[in-house]
Amino acid sequence: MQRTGSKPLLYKPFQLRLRRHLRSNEEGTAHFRFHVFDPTMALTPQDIARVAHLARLELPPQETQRTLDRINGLFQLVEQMAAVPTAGVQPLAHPAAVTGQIALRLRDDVASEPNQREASQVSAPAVERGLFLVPKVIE
Amino acid sequence: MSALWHERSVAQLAAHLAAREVSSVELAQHFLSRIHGEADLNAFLALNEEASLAQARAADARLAAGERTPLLGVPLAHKDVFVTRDFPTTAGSKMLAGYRSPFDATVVRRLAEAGMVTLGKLNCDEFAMGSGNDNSAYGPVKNPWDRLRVPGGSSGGSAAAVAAGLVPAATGTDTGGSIRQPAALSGITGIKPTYGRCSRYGMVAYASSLDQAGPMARSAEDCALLLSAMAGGDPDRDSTSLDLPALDYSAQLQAAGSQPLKGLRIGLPKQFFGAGCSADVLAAVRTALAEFEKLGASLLEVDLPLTELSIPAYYVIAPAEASSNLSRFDGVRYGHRAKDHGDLEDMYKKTRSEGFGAEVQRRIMVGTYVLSHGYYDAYYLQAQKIRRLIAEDFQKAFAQCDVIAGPVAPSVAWAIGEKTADPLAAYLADIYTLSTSLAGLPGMSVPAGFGQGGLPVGLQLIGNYFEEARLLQTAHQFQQVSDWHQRRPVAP
Amino acid sequence: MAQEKSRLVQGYEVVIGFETHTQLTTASKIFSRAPIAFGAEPNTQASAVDFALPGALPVMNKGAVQRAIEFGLAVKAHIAESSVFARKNYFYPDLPKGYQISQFEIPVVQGGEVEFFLEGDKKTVRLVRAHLEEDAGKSLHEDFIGQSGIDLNRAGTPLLEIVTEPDMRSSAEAVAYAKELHKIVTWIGICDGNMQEGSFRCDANVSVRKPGAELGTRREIKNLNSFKFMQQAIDFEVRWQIEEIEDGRKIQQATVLFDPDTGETRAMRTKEDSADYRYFPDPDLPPLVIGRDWVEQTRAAMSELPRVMAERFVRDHGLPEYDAGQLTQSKAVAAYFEAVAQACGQPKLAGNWVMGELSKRLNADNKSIDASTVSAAQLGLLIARIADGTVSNNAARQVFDALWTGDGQDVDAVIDAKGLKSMSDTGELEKIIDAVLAANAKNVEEVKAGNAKAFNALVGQAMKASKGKANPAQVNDLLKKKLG
Repeated sequence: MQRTGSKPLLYKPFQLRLRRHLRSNEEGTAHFRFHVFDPTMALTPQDIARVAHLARLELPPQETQRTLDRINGLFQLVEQMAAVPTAGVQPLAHPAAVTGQIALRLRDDVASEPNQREASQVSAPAVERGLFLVPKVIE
Repeated sequence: MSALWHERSVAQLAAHLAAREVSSVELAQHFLSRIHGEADLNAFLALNEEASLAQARAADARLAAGERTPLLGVPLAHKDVFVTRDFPTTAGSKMLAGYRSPFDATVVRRLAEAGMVTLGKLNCDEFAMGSGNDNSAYGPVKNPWDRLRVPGGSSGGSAAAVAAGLVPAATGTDTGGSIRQPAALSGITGIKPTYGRCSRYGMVAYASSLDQAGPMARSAEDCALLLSAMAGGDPDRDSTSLDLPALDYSAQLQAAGSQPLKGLRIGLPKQFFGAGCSADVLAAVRTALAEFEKLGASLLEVDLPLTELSIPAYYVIAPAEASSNLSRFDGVRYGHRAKDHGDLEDMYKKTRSEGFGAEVQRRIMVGTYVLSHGYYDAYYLQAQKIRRLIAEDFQKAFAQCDVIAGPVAPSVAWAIGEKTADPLAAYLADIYTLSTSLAGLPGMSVPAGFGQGGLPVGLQLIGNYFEEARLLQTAHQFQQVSDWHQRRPVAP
Repeated sequence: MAQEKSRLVQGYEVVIGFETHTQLTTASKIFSRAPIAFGAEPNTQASAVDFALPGALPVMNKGAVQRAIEFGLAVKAHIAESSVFARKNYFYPDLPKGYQISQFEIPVVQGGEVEFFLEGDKKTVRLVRAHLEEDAGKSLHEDFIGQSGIDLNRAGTPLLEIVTEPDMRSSAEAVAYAKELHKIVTWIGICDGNMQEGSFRCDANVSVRKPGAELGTRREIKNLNSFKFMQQAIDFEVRWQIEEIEDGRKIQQATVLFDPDTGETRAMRTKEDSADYRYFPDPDLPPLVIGRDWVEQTRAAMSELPRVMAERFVRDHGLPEYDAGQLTQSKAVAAYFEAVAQACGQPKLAGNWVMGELSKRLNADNKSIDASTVSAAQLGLLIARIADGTVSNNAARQVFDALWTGDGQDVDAVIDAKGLKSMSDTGELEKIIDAVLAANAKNVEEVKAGNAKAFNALVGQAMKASKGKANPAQVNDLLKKKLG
């Protein structure tokens, strides 16, 4: 039913240009560009801080070590995955690929949703004149 | 008779209603009073008697008009990850305290159209992340078999409510085992269908490529009734739902003869029967399997070599998807917003740190980490490749057998709080259910006896894609010759 | 190959790439069925999907895909048989889900090119890709103190993001590219091109380097919404970067905004850390599959593209490439021109008149060609009258004036009414010429001595004497004959 073989999804002539474009476009990640992946490395408090910021979470300093320990406990398990030979294996991002539904369903271009602002804003923390209020967004 | 409505199955209640021996309103009132009487279990998060009785009256009107459909007038409750207009939805989290959805989940709508009456919303692990229902922001749910123990999770409220006879059936969701495992630990029947069978529209998303809705009740027969109404494509709202019509699973339960399972080959993965599973569970499972043999099935060993690796694969993929799915909880449009905060960034951080519990925050961080630049290939992509291999291993096994069987969990229910100090231990206990979810296959839990301390043991049945009917039939035949599924905890 | 004019600025080569976000002309949003009209009351054009309510899921709009295919065909790109939607994760109040559904590794349109003219030189800018994604909502600051108001009407509007290689070497070239791209997307009807309303937004990636050196670090100028500001912004940015480098500083990668009041570009608050978007395939959307049938059907149904039409004008009508480009600036102009050419059978003259007189009038009155008071049929007839000698060019302009202002509808009627008919009677013309020759004996001698200027002067005199009604060609011939 499913196959391990990979059918290239990128039209060959454009593969190189597309990949080059993606690589040149990795904004703001210069400090990761030279990361050398070391499977035996556990997460550090800096990793936790970076990840917490990316996820907009705030860890009280006394929590950092405990969170670190627990997450590193999981990562010891996770490192075991590196030992599995997976060269040439197509990732299974979605069971739909093996249950047979492999194409995105397309709906007709019809605007059928009416104005539902009131019902949708009933649980809103702060609304004024129909707008959601947030602390000022600085460009 | 009236005092025992809670001992009746869904099928039986439907028959009584059809025979006008009881009204839907009476049933609703009966179960609501039981719910109030068992508040100690902490299974319910929200009730709305007015709305429930209105639904019951509507069902009675349909019955009076002569309608006779299999679920009409029967009460149920929904896991609190299904959004409902008539009840708040919290997903077990402070983040959504008091949230009112303007729309109903498709699964909720379909069961309502079938005439079922919603009595309330059921407690669950926060955002469906957990295996003990001890990660809920609203307190743990207690196992009716032993109130010092967990009912399982994340659909713990659903399992406890059905086990204690507070509702004849409930909906649950299963991402890594969250229907099967609580069903096993609480001694009830539950099924997670093939991925895409039921619509995910209106299910608060945890891990989109794994989440599935399913019924939890006292028997395969009852599950079949509910699944028939719940399942079916939802192409206008959920692009991952399979565009296939729902089947009448009840019509496929029967099998003839003294050996109704003759010809059925049951594969037993050797990895499921090893040292990691406690002896009492294995004993109950093997005894149950002997019954299947008497019914005509043959048992053989199969090999699922990546079973252990399903744990890290799942705990990379699910948190990755969750970290993205939970980004919408930012205090802007609904849900919790921190009262004291500075600028926008501060508002986000305080809101999310206050609104999410510790386990949810940990999984968000794990997920964010494995998706971040430089780590994606090693973790996320590798996990997806292992996922592919796991799916292929199942296909190899299904070349030799029709159904795969084994334990659901490596032990019976543990004490509340026992695994909170070590979440990893909880992850490891998911070992037998995760691979089914990763592959998108249907899986079922069937009561199969009792283990240590007189606590329930569940037998897992795993089918190939779209084989829900076969699973339900197999379970139903077993339930015709056994009564584990009819046992009830003694009320304290 | 003609030598390229050096476009170096203070010795530096300018390198520019563009990313253009075009809002598509669908009726509903890309993943929800809410409408997308501009200017509605806040949050009245948003569904559960757009509010990112718990449990909402995206469903793909066929019209958006259709338009992506049309664009791909228009720029001779490859339409991917299977492309993938990915989540771009970041936190911002106008991004309700906390991620944008976009396409990352495998976009729907791959490659392609845009050709245009820049001061007579033909340029080709290569496209890397074009992909489908959803637009974000808007934050409004003016009416609130210390707060912003979020409107999600725009959230979920379908966008086609069009990305070029860094092929452009001057701000003028960049603007010419942008104008050509604008023409293409409006011509094929996938975008309404309304830059004030944000339908067509350009980001320019600008860097400088010494010729032959490695690519410099680029800065991105975001949201350029007018062609005028585009050129100003890029010019300022180039000068600024050169100054920085000359002063010994390194260029830091940054996103900048152009301030039209000051004419300067200014770096936005750096979001260094938050720029890890953690792209991964969206698990709510299976891959987008586009069969070759669909592509071929679309190709067959598409009207002639401007470049193809321009090539046809060059080939069939002998028009210069530049003119053909001008006449295909929009479907309306092209249609008008073709109608005129058809009516008079004089495509070159038709082209001159459309690009000349008509264009002048339309610009002066700030009208589009659809609002022209002179119809193609009328202009066609007028040109026919020039061609057959009924009126001279000068006279024709007067007729045109009259038609334009509405002081007459019928070409021939106006010609008669204003007595603009060219002199057709050779006898009368001969008399006039004889008179001119008689009155300008000195000039006649000059002409006989070979003075061309003197000859022209005589022609001028004859034309004057005929009150402009003589046919200049005829006058020329007769004079020559008489002078021997």
